[in-house]
Amino acid sequence: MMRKRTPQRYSPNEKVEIFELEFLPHIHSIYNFAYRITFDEDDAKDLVQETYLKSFRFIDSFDKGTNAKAWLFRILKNSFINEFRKKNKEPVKIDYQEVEAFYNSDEVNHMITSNLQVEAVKEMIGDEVSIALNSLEVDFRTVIILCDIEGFSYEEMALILDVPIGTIRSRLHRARNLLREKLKKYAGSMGYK
Amino acid sequence: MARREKLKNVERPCPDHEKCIHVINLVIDGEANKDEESFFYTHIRDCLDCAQYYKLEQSIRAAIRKKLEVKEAPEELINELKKRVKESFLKPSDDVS
Repeated sequence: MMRKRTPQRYSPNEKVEIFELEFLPHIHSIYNFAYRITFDEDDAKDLVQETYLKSFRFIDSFDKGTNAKAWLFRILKNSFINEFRKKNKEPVKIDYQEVEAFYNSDEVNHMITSNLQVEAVKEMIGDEVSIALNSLEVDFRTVIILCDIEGFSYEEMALILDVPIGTIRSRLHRARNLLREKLKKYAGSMGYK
Repeated sequence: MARREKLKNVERPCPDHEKCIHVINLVIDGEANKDEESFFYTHIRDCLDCAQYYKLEQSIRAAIRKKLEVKEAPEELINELKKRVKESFLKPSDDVS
């Protein structure tokens, strides 16, 4: 899917066909993801526009009929990291390895207990789930969205995010622990134990 | 008697919950291999801790899938992209930037 390969030579008509039949059907997923990582409709539009214009510019390096969705998500993730974050000058540059090491520590594992109840989660409304998800640091939020909303496999996620599968597993594990902890706080405020 | 023994097992704290959590998540994500799957199905029948964790994780994933508002790309953005792609053929190069 994303191996180094000999570029195709698509005709102009083929290019438009691939763009409209293989790329555009994923635009709502791409936009939803862009919105969930930027929290801003205009930024999401810019990111999606950039992603799709790049996908068209580099269409010769895409193999027709392969995993267009993962290919587009990979372009989006690179645009977000390389340009969007730079342009918007994130106030604090986070060392993600450090963050992951912290969340991988036993100390945090002990902090995160699981007495959240199924009934409490079932009672929650979208806004509460959304606030809990949005409060996760972007790398943790990203793996939850890619896995649970978009249904990507671990292998696809590793390709999209350009990290080893082991990192995907541990990042997901920590992300789920943190999300459960956030949801537990809401459940507590709703009167569940 | 057999039933009482069974219940004793179910109510005992999971002896290796960390490992089970890992396997349960692989199973829910469809990433478990055959050994992990069979471990999961035999163990979870007898372990209340793990059965509860499994149900909770499933309910959280369901909440994420079903309760979050899905933002759809605005129609004008889709039209703009289509227009720019078509316009690119009027230029000498394929540069759509």
